[in-house]
Amino acid sequence: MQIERELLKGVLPLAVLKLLNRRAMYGYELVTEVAKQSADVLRLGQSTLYPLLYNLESQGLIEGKWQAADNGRDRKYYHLTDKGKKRLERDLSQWEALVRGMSQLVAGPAQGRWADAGI
Amino acid sequence: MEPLPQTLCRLIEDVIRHTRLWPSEKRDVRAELESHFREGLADLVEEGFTRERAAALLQERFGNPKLAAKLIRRGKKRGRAMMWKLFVRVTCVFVFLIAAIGVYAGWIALGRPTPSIDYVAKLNESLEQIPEQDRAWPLWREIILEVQRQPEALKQALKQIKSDAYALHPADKDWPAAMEWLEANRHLILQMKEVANKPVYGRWYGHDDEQEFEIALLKRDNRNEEAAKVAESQVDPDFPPLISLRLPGLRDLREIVRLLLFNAHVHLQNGEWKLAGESIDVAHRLGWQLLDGVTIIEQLVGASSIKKTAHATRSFLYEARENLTREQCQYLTNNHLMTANAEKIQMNPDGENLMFEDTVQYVFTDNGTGDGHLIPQQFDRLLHGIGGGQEESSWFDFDEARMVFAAAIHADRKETLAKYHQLWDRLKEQLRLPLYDPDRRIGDIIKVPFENPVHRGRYGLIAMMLPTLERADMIFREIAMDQAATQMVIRLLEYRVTHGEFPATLDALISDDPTVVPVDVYTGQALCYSVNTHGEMLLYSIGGNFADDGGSSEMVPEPGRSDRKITADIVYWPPLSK
Repeated sequence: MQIERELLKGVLPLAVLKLLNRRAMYGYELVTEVAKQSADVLRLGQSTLYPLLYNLESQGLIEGKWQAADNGRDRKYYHLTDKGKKRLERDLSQWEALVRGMSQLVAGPAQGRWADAGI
Repeated sequence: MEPLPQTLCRLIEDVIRHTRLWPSEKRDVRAELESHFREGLADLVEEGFTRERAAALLQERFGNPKLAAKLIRRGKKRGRAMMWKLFVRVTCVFVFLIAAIGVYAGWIALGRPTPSIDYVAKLNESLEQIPEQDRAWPLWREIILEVQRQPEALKQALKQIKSDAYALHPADKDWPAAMEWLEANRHLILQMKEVANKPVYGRWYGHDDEQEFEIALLKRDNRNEEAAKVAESQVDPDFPPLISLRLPGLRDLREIVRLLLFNAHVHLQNGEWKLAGESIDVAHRLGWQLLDGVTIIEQLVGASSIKKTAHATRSFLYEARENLTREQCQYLTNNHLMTANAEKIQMNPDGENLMFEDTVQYVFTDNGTGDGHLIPQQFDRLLHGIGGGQEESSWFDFDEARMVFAAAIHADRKETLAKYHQLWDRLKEQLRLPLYDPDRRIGDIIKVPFENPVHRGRYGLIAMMLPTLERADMIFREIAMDQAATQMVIRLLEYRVTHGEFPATLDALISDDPTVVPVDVYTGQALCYSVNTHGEMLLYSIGGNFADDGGSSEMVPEPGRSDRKITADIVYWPPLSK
């Protein structure tokens, strides 16, 4: 499913922060993991990847570091900073609140009551 | 490591080129993109794609390189150091300010004057009613063009003795040169008598007229190069010569007064009292005509001529004091010197006001509501007195540039005119006060345009154009007193001729006519008068130091002016040799 760009705008940074919270990743890896972990719903364009990473870096949420990989290639790994972790926590709680709210909205008020009644 | 396929290298270069980042940032981005594509190639090759196909896929998936470059640039710029961002902002503000100032400077520099009032016509308005035959100036003009000026050697010799030709005597070495000068002009003296009897000075102010006269004067003095220069100069319609800057012939009128007084002196040497009296009369009338001039400078020249005549007359009388006859006194009693009302020797500033308004309309723009901004180059030209061909100043004068800049920023047409008239109104009130009044504060009022740097800019034009009124007013009052004192001297000498001695006090004269006693402008009381034991009279004013020094002519510093000296008292009798 092709998701509207405007919807993706706020979601992709959160997705990247979430992935980097698990472990440090390099750019290409992030592209593949975002798609894989979201069942291909979220797709991080290759031309938008680095601008996104640079923006997060300028905000001090992530940091990049070059490391030599086992295969001999150099990779720039990004990891979450403390500030990034706090931002992730905040954005996640906001996201969860948003999802709950939207779910209720989409389900409708009656169904909501029925849902409360366990039906 | 295997190099990347050409297509991906080109893609990377395309992106890098369009980012327009710093070199260090470009290196970082290039390294990252190369790493990214290596990973991508490895991944796709592992999936079974050929290297070329993988490269094509990666290129396709990357998207628009220009858009990517733009977004990368944005992201990288956000990551730049705070100091750098601050520097960029400050620079932008600075550049904006400079540009704004430049635009403003350009706007004011490009301003043009749009004069709408013919002030020359206003100055000449009063003349339109006067019949041509009543005007003295056209005839004075002709005489000036013909008169032979004092030879330079004689001029220098007179400078040495700090006096005029009438101080010379037949035994003096410069007497022959002075006589030669007199003889060269003798044929004009009769004409001068006729001209001096005209009721009105009647100088017609007009730019073309003045320039033509100036050229004629220069040619008369064999200054042909200068005459040619003036003739070639075009009157700039944006800046015609101001009246007060172009008044050719004034100096010559002063010289004519000197000539007439010397003529009187020569007649006296020959015992020709009637002819001497006539010559003094002509000189005095000429000075009186000049009091009609619309400019203060002309009025000052007139007043100064009156003073010179009065002083010369007292000198003549002093020389002849022991042998004066009643008849000789009569020649002077009927003279204009005796009959003219000293109280009419006053400054008339109306012409100055018109000239100032004329200057304003050439130095400021006019936005149609009576307001406008100062035009720097016009103000600069005024500073140099440029008008109709005078020379430009030297290349750069910092103080002058600062004054022009300050005036351009602060000066405003409406405010300038309002301030000027306000100052004049205050000055006129002050000018009514006597010199000895402690409330007289003319100096303070005149200082207003100079109070601080902002005022100096805002009222720069006023500072330039406002005459030194305090001094001018003092001069006029002193000269009026001088005239009245001379009239008193003649009456006293006549009294002595009649009664054999000077009166003990001036009361003897008051009983006949209370108004004859001249008032000392520095006290408001009668002039100081006494007769010593030898029967010689002393008549004086306490002078500008406001202290009675007993008739001393010693030079003392002028109050409030350490750079200037005045006589302790102004002594009318016995007259100074000067």
